[in-house]
Amino acid sequence: MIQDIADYVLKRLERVNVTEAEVYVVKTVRSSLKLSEIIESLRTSENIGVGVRVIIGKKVGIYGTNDVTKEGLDKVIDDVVSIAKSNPEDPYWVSLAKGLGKSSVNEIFDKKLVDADPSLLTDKVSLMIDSIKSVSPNARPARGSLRIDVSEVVVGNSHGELVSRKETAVSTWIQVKAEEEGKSVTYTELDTSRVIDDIDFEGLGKVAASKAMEFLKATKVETMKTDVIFDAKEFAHLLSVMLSGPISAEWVQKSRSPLAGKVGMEIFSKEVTIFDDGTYPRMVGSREFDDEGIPTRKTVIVDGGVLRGFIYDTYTANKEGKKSTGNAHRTISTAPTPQPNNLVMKSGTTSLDEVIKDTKRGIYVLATIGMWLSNPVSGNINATVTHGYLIENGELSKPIKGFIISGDFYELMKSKLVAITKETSRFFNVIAPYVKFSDVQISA
Amino acid sequence: MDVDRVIKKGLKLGASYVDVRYQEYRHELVVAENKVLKEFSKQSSKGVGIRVIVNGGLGFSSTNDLSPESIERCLRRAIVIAKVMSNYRRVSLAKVKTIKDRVMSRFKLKPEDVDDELKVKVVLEANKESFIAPEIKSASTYLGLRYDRRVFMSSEGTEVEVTTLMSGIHHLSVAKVGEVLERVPYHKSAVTGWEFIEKEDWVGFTQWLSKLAIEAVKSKTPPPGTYKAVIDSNIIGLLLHEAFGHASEGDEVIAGASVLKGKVGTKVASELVTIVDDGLVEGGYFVPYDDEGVPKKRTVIVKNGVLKHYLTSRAVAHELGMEPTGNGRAQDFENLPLVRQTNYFMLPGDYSLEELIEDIDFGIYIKGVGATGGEVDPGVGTFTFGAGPSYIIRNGRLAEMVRGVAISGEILSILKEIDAVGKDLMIRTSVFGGCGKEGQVVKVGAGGPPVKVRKITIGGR
Repeated sequence: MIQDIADYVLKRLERVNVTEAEVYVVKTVRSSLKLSEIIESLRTSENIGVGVRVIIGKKVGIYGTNDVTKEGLDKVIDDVVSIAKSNPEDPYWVSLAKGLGKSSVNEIFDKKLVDADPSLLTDKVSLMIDSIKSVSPNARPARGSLRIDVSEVVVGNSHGELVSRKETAVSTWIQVKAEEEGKSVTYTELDTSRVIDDIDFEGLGKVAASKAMEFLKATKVETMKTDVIFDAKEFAHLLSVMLSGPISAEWVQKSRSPLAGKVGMEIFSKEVTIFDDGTYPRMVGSREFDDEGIPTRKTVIVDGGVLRGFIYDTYTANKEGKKSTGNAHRTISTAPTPQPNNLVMKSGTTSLDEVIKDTKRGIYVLATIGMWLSNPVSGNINATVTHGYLIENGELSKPIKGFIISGDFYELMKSKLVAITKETSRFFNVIAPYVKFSDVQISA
Repeated sequence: MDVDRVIKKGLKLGASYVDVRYQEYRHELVVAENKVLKEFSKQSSKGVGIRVIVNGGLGFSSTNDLSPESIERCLRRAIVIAKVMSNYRRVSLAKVKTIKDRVMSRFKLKPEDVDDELKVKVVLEANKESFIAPEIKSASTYLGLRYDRRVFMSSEGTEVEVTTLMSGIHHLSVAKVGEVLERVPYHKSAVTGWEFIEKEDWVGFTQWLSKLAIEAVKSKTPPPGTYKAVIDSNIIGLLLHEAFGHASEGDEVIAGASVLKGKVGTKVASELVTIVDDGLVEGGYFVPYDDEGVPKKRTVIVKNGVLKHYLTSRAVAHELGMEPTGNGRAQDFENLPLVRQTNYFMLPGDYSLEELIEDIDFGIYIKGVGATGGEVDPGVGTFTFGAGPSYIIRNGRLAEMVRGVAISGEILSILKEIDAVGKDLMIRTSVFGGCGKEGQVVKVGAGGPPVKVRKITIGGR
């Protein structure tokens, strides 16, 4: 069906006088469930979006539409040409993507989710709600959601190539509220995968409820400099905020990236290896090709602490005479930009238990808010830790809350990184180990 | 699309209620930044959303593939969801009269019939001409055009079609002197076609904002503290919408997230204050009917200081035992209606602006042009807003301009401190953005007359 739309648009574009043309069609059938203490609502939507990009000389025009009637598509052709003509020339324009194709990626399409019965969603969420209640009568679900997407993508262009892919995605979060003796605490758990059985709904509910209950007793800490162990999920979150932009060739070329000009230099500790991998099984950023039709792959970003390169889409690659790394991301109405598929930091050899045992005094960071206030351009980390533990004599001694963690990301990663665990965890499209830093600033 | 057939089929499949919302929309955005065209984008969609009730369970499904097979699939999905949902949550819709009507907002020229090059020309010219002095370091100009047609049909027999056109320009001038930077954003929008863009003097508009920015960047910030104040229409509209309007939404009341819960019949404001929500008002957005086919008439929320009513959708009205007020609004066909404000404003009194100002020895005239937004907690009614360049009031007269004015407080105490209400009502809406709630954005209007308050807290920003 969406292949027909792509064919139709490309055929029509052959008849107008443009230098190059590209069509990007995406169809998503989404089921979403919203919950509070009860299951509030459930709905599905089936949406087809069509993005068209034409180039006239070096003038680029983009138009996105969700009107997929014949008249709607015909109007897109007229309008996108008119938009291209109104735009100024882009002196850096070279060409659309060439060499479209697919890489081999496992477990990104979960057949169970196609035309799934809505009771699949309510059953999973009921599991989560029941597991919360089983922890304590004083813990209850406050808010949450479960979303299932079944998507198809077709990309084709006037260089005569066309590719299509299918994938599924499951995404859930749950916020639990614990109340006792007039005190109230919330804790949120979340997970995302391309496969539903990969998500432990019962476990998410249990963890969220027991953490919320445990943190009713949380106390404040004093301002200090100390050892800090980051929970793997939270560290993945930090990597996402601090690196997603700076490793993009777009940021580098616009001189916004602190990594510009540092390829070949040692930017992190020798223990650090980070790559982008669009082929990692089950991960939500995995796909057979990117949003311009270029096969995804594994791209080394940092190897043994040394910066090896950046991620590219076709436009940024053309600008440097390079090849795209298959990292184009777009919406139907915007130009593609290079963004990570999945960021993966290589795990270490020690266990989390050993790392904690080796810590005489320190802090364990479990969850934060306001991580987005950290500045990836300057490298300044700034986040409020809502849930953490004090570490005393090699043990997590008591829950603590409400302090700010700050510092320079590059300094931490280069000279203060003391341990990387073998265990890892995922946060959306990032996989990371637990890590320990020394001498980190904590402010009450 | 044969909607009748879809509705009949839904009833045959076991639904006690079916509604079908068809919508088509087109949005255009042209952006110029620092004398260069930055963006020209268009967005369009057509689709249908089907809502059904089976055994008290609510099901909803949407699609933008308008083939008969896809619509049938959409209906069947809604039915299955409703059946599943009946095990978890049951809803009832308050009774309403059935209506058949078709309305259009007033317009002459559809944006799609206007040359794209002309749109670019208007924006580029307004942007270029806003660089009136070296103090202006950057400027952005946005042109927004919208066409929105919505058809609502239900198994109860209601058939309502509403078509709305909107146009407007938003501009931001940034002035810098030394290390001080001042941003002055403002917009003018109207529920009309392209003729609004044609008749207004946009160069005059952007130059006026640049002048304000230059004057503001050279002015001082007011010492923080408590002030007597006159608050202009823009700011009173913002305060009412954000800090009071959301708290008066019935679903927030049911969820226990509103400071107004349990307060119907009690005094929540000075007796000079009357607040209404009205779907059809000069300057506001056009909401003759909501997305449940309910007429949006004037709802009196506060009368002479006493809370009278909450805003409701049909389901919320049933749950609260109130009348449906026509406030069940959805962002688009892909979303379920939620309780939303339409045009939320305070009714005018008798005072001219001069009269409001004249008996203030020392105070501040808080203005909204250049306001930068803020934050509210409707659960407790606290707010913080950044106002635009404002004026100190001395001996009953406007004195020097001040910049960086941030106001904060509790909405209920501010409304109780109002001791005079102006006569000049102004209501504004915007083609850019709107009001967000649970991930859905809808167009709203807000405003009021200028009012005088005995005290308000001013902080620096």
